[in-house]
Amino acid sequence: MTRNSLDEIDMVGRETIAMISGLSLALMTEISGHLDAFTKTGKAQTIDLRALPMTDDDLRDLDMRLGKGEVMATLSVSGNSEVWETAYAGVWRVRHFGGGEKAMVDEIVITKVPEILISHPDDISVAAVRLRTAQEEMSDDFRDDEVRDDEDVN
Amino acid sequence: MAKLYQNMFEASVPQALTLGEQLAQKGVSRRSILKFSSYVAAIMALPPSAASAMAESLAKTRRQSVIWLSFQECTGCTESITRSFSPTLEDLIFDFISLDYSETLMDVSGLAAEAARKQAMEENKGKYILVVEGSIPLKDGGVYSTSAGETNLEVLKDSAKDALAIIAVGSCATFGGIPAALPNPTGAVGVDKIIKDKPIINVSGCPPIPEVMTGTISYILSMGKLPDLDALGRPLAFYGETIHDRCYRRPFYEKGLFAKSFDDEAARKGHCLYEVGCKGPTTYNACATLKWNGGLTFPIQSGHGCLGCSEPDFWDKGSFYQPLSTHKGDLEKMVVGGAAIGATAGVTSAVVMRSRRAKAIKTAQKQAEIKVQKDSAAEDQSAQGGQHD
Repeated sequence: MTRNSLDEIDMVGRETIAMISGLSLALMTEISGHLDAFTKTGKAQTIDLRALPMTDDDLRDLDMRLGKGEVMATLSVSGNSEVWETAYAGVWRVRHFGGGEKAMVDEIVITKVPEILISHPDDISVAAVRLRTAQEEMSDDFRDDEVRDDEDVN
Repeated sequence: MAKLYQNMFEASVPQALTLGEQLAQKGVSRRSILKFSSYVAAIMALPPSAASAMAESLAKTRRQSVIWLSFQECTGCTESITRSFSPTLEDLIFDFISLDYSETLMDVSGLAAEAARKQAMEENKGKYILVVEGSIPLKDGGVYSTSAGETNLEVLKDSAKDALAIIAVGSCATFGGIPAALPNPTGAVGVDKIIKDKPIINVSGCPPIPEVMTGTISYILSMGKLPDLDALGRPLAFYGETIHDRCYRRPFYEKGLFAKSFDDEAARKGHCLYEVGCKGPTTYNACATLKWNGGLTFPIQSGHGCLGCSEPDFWDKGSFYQPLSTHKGDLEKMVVGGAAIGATAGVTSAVVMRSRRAKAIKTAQKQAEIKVQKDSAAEDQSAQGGQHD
């Protein structure tokens, strides 16, 4: 769930004990069902891993079973986020981190592309204005430079 | 925190710009709102599709005025909430609200502070959210806790009359909490024993989980309505299930594997803490899923049983270190069944769990009724301050 697992903070040399409840196997069945449904209906699904009684070892076990695919993205949006496609196309892992790099959102998303990766139309509109303004300023600067160069030549 | 202070006294009058526009001016993209909404939707157990709808709605709303009153309390609730916010994802809530009055956090004091409260109330009449932290003493006219020459009771009644809704934060504001522990010398009660004509959301816990506050306010802002509440007035999304239901040690309970003492091998292996006094089976809260300190851990993960701090009268329910099955009263019947089930591997059925949950709700309701009777008695003792709205 967090980047500080029980194992990692067990620094006194105690034997590390894996706590695997078997939930990851059950989840694989659920994910498989959602992926089948998505291919037929196109309906995206999200599984909130933070809402499940999973140990850190369960999570590691699940990620090991899902593997990593071709796409990995890191986002700097109000803190960090990690998004990656698992070895199964259409099955994504989305993790949003808060202060102290703790996972505030930890999800499996079954979809084409997680929405967080898609630019919002409002942001694109703002970007268009910013880009036009920047381009105009650059043109003005370029013109001013040319005028100055001409004056220097004369 | 810096942003919290900065936002505190910014004008809270309805502004022309929406939250989306304000954030865009600051260079904050809509992805931030979507990320925040995903976080709120996840913690409120909303359907996956709710996050993007919530983000769209939040972007179109305006900043919400919040007046925060502190009464008979230890300030642990404010500590919990403010310390949890680092300038990242969780911090965004402070872009969504205008905290117009908070005795603990505001710079000004005395008349200027009271003027700020009055001004916020006037400018946001019928629209502000009133947050109350701490219980309200009723005995002897409420003299046991006063501020600016007014009793807590007077300030609460005055501030509540034009509020959109009230959020009672912490077990003191919701159920009287530790100030109301026997023999309740000040006649302390929670908000809903006094205010009867406003929607009240109880966010219990000692202290409550910060995300519950964040989620509740965001829900009101984006959905334009109050979240569904349980029989004790708590948001169902956070208090709909017991700590035990969502505890990562639960699978071991099902297998009949219990720790016999703190830090024994069984405890380290993650076995259930029921036998060392954990109150998880009868405590409705989201600690097991949201956890504390930004999702790092929660008491059971740290090796200590749940104290049941989000339930009424948790302080007066006997030892924190005795198993629930040794408690007296109705709880005993309820949890002895639970222990037997846990000891028999794999036989716990959904039917039994639903039955236990129903019993727990009944017990809580019964306790709430007893509390009302107790509070009424305390109010009767009150010479002047016990008149209810």
